[in-house]
Amino acid sequence: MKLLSCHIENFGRLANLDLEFHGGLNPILRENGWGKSTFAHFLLVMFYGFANERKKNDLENERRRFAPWQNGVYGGNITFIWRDRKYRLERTFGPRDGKEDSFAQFDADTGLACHDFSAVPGEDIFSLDRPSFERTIFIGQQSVHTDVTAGIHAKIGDLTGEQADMTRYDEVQKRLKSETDRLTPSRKTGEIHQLRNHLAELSAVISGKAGEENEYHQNNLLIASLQDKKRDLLSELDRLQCDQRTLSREKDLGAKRELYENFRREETTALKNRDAVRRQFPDEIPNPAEIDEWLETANTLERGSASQEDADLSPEQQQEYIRLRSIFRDNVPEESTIARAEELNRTLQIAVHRASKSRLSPEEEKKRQDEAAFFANYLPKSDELSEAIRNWNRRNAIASALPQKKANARLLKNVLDRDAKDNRPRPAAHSFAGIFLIFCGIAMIAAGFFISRSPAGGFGIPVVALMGAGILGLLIGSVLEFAKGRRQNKEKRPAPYSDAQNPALTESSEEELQQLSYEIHADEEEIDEVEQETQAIFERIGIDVPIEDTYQTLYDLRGKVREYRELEHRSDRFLSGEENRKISQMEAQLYRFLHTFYPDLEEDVDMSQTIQELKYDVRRYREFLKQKEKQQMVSDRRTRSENELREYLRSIGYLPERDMAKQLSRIREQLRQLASLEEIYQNRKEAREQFENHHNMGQILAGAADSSRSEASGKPGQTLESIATRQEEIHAQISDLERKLQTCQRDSEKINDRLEEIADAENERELSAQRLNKLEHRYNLLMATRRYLEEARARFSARFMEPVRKKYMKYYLLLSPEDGKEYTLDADLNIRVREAGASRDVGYLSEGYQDLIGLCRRMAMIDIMYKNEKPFLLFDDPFVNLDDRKLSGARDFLSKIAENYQIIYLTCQNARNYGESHLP
Amino acid sequence: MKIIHCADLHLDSRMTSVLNTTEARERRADLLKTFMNMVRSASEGSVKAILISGDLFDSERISSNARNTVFETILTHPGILFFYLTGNHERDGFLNRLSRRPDNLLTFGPSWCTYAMRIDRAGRPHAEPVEEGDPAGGRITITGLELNEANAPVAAAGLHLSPEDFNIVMLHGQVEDYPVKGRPEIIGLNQYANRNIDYLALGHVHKYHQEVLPPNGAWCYPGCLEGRGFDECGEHGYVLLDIEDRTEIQRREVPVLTGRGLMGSGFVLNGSFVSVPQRHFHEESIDITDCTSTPMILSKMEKQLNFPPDDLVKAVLTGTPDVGCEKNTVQIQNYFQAKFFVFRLVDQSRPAVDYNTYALDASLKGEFVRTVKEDPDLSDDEKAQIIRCGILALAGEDIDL
Repeated sequence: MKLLSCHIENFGRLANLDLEFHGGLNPILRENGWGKSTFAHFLLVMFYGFANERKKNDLENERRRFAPWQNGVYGGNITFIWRDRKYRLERTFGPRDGKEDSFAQFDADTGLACHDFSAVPGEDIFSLDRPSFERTIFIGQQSVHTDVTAGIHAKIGDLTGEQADMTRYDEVQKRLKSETDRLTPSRKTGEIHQLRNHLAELSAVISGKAGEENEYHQNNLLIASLQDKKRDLLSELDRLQCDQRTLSREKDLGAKRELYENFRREETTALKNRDAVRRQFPDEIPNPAEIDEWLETANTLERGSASQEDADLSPEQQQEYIRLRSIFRDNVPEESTIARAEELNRTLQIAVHRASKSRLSPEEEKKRQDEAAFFANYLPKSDELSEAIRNWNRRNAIASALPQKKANARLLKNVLDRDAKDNRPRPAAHSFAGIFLIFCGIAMIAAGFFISRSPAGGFGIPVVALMGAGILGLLIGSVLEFAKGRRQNKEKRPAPYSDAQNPALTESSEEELQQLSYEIHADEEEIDEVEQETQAIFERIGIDVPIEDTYQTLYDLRGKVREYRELEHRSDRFLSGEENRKISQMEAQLYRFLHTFYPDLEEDVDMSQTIQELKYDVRRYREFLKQKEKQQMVSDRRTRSENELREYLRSIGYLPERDMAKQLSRIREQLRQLASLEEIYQNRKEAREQFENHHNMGQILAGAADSSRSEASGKPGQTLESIATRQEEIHAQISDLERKLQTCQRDSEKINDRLEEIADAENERELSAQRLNKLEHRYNLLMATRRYLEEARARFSARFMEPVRKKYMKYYLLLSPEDGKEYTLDADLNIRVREAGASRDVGYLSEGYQDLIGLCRRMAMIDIMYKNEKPFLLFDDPFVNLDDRKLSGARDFLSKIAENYQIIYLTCQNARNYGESHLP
Repeated sequence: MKIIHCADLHLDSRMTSVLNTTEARERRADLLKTFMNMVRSASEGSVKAILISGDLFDSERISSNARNTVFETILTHPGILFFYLTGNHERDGFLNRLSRRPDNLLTFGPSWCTYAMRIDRAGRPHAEPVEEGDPAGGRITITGLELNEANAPVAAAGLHLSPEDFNIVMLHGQVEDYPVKGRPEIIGLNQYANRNIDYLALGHVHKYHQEVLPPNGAWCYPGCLEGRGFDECGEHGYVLLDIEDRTEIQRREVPVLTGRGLMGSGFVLNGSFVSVPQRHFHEESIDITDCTSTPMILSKMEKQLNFPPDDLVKAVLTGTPDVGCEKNTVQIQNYFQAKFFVFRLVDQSRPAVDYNTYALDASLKGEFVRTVKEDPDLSDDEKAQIIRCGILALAGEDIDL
């Protein structure tokens, strides 16, 4: 990184200043007050902005400190090369705060705006925050010695991006410290310390718990004893009240005695009344429940006699019953018997139906007789007739084919004959007739036409006949000519089998003719044979049949033969009589069965209907029987009940009256009266007994008031007055106890409140102890984390201690080659000097040495931090404290480092001007 | 006859160690409500007696609200006998403060006291103290003793029960196989076996437990009615005993103990556990080893914490998530706080450090991890926690430890 130029518009006292820079040493030698430090801060602010903006002190607040003296625009620009690219940063600043600030960045070659930097371009370019920058690259006047920031550590460690957590080290440590300070047990403000104190306070509160609890318990026991006393007193009070009541009751003994006597009198009267009624009963007192029961029976008997009349048969029913009893006197058929009869009747009906189907009707019988007469001579078999029909069919087939065979034979014979003769032309008989008729026809038509057209002519019948004949002649002539033409065409075509063309065919034709002749002969013989056989059948039957009706006759005969045989078969079966015999048997069986019940039954009666009548009669008869049986049972029971009732009345000492129900009702009423009197008597008796039970009858009957009172109370000498006195004493004692109890309860409540507080304290102590444990754990953990982080940071730095020390010594020898001091570095890269056998802090050295060490330390760190692109270095007169010998070393130092770095060297004394200024 | 056996109700318990003041107040109301519900159920279910085997209240100091509630509940249910054995927590705190004791409240003392139960024609139960020499057989007896240092060593020897009766014995303490000298709360089972006890109704342990007591009996802790902390998760309730009188049938010698059926002397005992709590405590471990961020942890927890909104839930984060895992316990706490009546988050997860990742890391973080790792005085757990703290600090994150 190299600065090229800068322009300061207004910055502090500097205004409208342009400077250009080159590589190596750029000394700026100006007198005091020119604004060298202001210029150095201009560079700082251009890269990092203002610091301490919130400070009220103008010297500390950079924005105010470097505000333009001449007013005008506050700011400027700076041009530099970074990573081989030329940039220009332009910044202007508001006088009071950053709201009016502007910041622009440009590519200095093209003049185009760019966005390569953040709002703090120094951090992007140098990878350092401002404090780190001020402790390394920016070497200010009187601030040469430096210390190491976390950012410097990170830069030295060459860690970038996410790994650069070293930069947060200070922040983390600060945060951890803040937290541990908040928690610390060693300070009063620490939460742990406070919590421990609080726990101690709580423990002090809780320590009184056992005493409080004991006090509470004792108080509780006192309350219990007071309660017991109170309960005892209350019990005594109850007893006294009881005694008091007893004594009061004794005053009423006289009245009670009179009351007792009254009870007894009433009881005696009730007893007399009861016994008077009781004597009305001849024997023992009947049981009311039994009387009620018998009374119910008697009433039932009365109701029963009425209902029995309703249950008797009507005259019609009686008549019917008599009829049925006469039928079934000896035997009432069971339902199964009737069912069997019904089954037999069904079988009979089926048999009758079947027999009726076998019997021939008169028409059928007549037909059978006719056919028997027809076939009287001969009854051909069906098979014979079927055979004759088949033969006749064959005969017809042969006969129909025979004419053709004969024609073929004749044709074959003619062909053979024609071949045997010469081929002579045949006369054409009609050769000219046709032409002649055509001409005649035309002539007649034409004549007719002319006649009709002539003035004398007309269209009369002769003309029409003439023209008609002409047309007819024309047609016939045309037909003849057409036939002639065809015949001539035929004759012009050669014959296909003409012997002239095929001589071998002639011989085969002869053989064929011969064969045909044999076949014709055989056929004629077979036809004759069939006709004779058929005729023979007809003759045997005795009928004459023309040959053309033969076939139909044979068919008819076969049908007739079958029909005749069927009729004959049915006639034979019917005449055999097996089924009729069975039918007769069943009819007889059924008749016998029904006749048993119905003697007047006729033989041709309808059996089915009779069986149904029997079935109905049986059911009716059974119903009558049941009714009769029921009537009998009711009658028997009634008789039995009446007898029993009479017996009962006798048993209780009464003579049965005619109206026993009325007699029983009377007895029942007497019983009710007796029960009522008995109840009155018992009530009186119970009242007396109750009185006796609830009262000391000895006392009442004895009438000695004094002695009885002593016995009742059990305490001789006790009176109502003495009881009242004791009651008053007890009430006073109870009041006293209650006051004590109230006091105790108040004490209890107070102790309880204190124990509640203790319980709260215990609870709070438990929670606080838990929290303390938690906080201590956290505190210890945070402290350990701080410690280990610090150690880690030291270890982190230790990796770069030796390289930094070497670089340091290199620069130190440049500045002070003959010094011979021994320097060491710690993990924080602090330089310590070893003198007089001990490692000492450089603070003990002179200002000059301190500047020397600080400068070398800065350069050592910068060397380590920037291995590739070197930054510019700003030296704001750092050698002011060096003696002359060291100043000569400073020259070498500057020239040496100028080989690798661009140095902006600001000084006010020519003696410390080690380079040639290129600046105005 | 139906009898309820309950214990360790700890009414008026402060519960402020696990709940804040508001939550604890509501929970105390829950406990009272559950007690009242149990009595109401007993009344509706024709239960004749309720055995309270100690620790009805949490301490001797009983609030007037709790005392009045219990007193009125007992008083307004005369059809139920309350056999109340005081526990080590409340001592006589309840009984001493009563100006009068309801007739249906029956108590015990430092000497054995036996009541024989009977039901009158109206179906109302009665209990009469059994005196020595009373004719035994066919009775249901309730016997109890408040153990203390003086009576504990000789208590079992002084217990005389008839084998012809169905004997229920109430005690409050911790059962062990053998007694321990100087510790009256220890109930040595060997001393109470073979003493004709059909059902030993115990209190002191807050979880339901039941086992055989030789020869034909059983001992049983019903547990508490409601959980009071995350150490009392799971089901809670009481035991409902249904004692069927079969004295006319020959005594069956073989006890049946299935959690529901026990055979006594001439009586058949059917016991069943009835769960009643209004809210349940749940403690759930969530392994977040494979989680790398708070949303992932929330998602995993959401799947696991599938409990009714009225319940009290404690989630314990476990596992070894990566040291760089982003885990915000405040966010998690706030997220689930709204989902349950009470939600507690405990982070027991331990960060896992893959040291190989940092072996070549040139950054300060890498150096830090290596530095911590090389310290032989630190345990692995400490190393992991310090590393997590350092990494969070370097990353500028909140240090949620």
